[in-house]
Amino acid sequence: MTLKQLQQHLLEQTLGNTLALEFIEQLRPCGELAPKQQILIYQQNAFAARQTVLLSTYAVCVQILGERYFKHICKAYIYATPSTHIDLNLYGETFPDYLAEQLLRQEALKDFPYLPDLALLEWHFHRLFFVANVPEFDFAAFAHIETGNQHHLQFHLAESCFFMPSDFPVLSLWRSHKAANPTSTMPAGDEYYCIYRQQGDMLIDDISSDLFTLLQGITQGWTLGTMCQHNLDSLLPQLIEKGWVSRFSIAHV
Amino acid sequence: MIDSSAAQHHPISGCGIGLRAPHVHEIITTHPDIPWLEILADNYLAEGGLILEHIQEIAQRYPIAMHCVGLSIGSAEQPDLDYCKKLKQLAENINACWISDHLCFSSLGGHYSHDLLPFPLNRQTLALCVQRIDQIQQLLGQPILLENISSYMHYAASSMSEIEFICALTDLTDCQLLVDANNLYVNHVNKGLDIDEFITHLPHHRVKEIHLAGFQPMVNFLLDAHNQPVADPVWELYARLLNYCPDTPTLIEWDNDIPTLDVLLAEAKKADSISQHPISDDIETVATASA
Repeated sequence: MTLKQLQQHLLEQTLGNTLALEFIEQLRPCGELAPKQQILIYQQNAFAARQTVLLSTYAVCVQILGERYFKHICKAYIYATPSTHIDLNLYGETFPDYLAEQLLRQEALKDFPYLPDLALLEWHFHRLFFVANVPEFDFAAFAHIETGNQHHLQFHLAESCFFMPSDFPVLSLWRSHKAANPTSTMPAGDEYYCIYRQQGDMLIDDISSDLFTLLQGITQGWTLGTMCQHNLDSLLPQLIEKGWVSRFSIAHV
Repeated sequence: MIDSSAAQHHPISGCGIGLRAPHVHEIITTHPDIPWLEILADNYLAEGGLILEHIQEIAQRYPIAMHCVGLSIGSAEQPDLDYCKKLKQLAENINACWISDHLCFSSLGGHYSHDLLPFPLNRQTLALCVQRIDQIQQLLGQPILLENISSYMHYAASSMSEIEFICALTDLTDCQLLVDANNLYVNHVNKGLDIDEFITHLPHHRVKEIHLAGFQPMVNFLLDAHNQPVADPVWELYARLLNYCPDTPTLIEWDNDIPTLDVLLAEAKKADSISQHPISDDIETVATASA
């Protein structure tokens, strides 16, 4: 077995929950530790590290499901999802999608249809903490845009913001749990949120459907002309003021 | 090979603590008396963000050493050049005293273990590590410190003792050493590592830092859990190490079930006290006492 094969075996077994005979044969007893137990120690360490991160990132989901059930739910996810980022803090990006799949499969989750949206909100609130700072909007350059180009202006969203819709009031739920005053009432309704970082603070705003449409349009490459056609251009200053729009460019006609 | 004599020297001394998230706000706002701090550099490699702002603020007041888990020195793959560049950038941004990592591998094929995985210690892996360390030190522009890990594994392919491997590696690469006293003790109990042999053969002039941490006793082994106070036999081992490597900057590492800052500072104070009152090495050794 080459060194690379040996290391591949160990890494696969460390991140999973299986034992490969081929690898066990490469080991000798280590004090009182038989070869199988040697591998199990690494498996348990790697599992615990990823579980700890999920418990911290999805803290409100943990509160809602209870730590024991949350751990049960995330067990298969951890084994199926190796870490692909050097920073362990960024493990668990796909957990909201996993929860959405589990909703369809697990009867015990049928009372928690909002869980994937809540998890998505928690993930981005966590992720944006680590995102690079946004340069300030260049008002001076903006003031010098030629009149003929104004309709072709395109705006770009800051990396430090993320917006999402939800059929459930998950922001109220998240806030009530963060305030240690959990609510159980969950009226359905259209909700739109923008999660962002502003001057050192992590914030979440409840936004209007018009603002959400505009944010969506910006990500689709709407020009200022298109915004005017949708009568949404008047909302643009808000986005710039909040730091959600960080720069502009002129679309090629 | 990089010339270690050309490296920038930072005057740090005494016992520092590992900077962990629960203490960041308190350290920024109350400026406790801590001689130096060590960060887990892998958590600070973002291009920006609050976490970077915090560490830059802390670096204005405290000397900072960078500790990593991602260099994957013993990996069969080439070093991650992007990772090395980010480390170098961070080291420049916070004027880091030095950069350390472990004698292990931690990633392969784009998957990360977030644990320190052992590899067989033999001539083949020695040659590989020499090549990796030379390359990494050139990229970083400074010698790195390598730490001995706790290992729960014994490879049939190993043909060198840990100290033989370390001596050869430091000779061939001019890298420096970070000796983790807790790891030594854990390996002594779990694997029968000969502490006497390790300490006496250690290239003492290369030891630039010592780590102290707590282990967790399991059914038939000790787990290097970093979740408890430093145990008595590790304090004894630390005192013995200081006879060979006096005044070596020391660090309290506590990563799980993290206590309040004052608990960590009390541990650091204890280390300082031991450092100022070294014991004679002709006492019965830890290895003998714990056998």
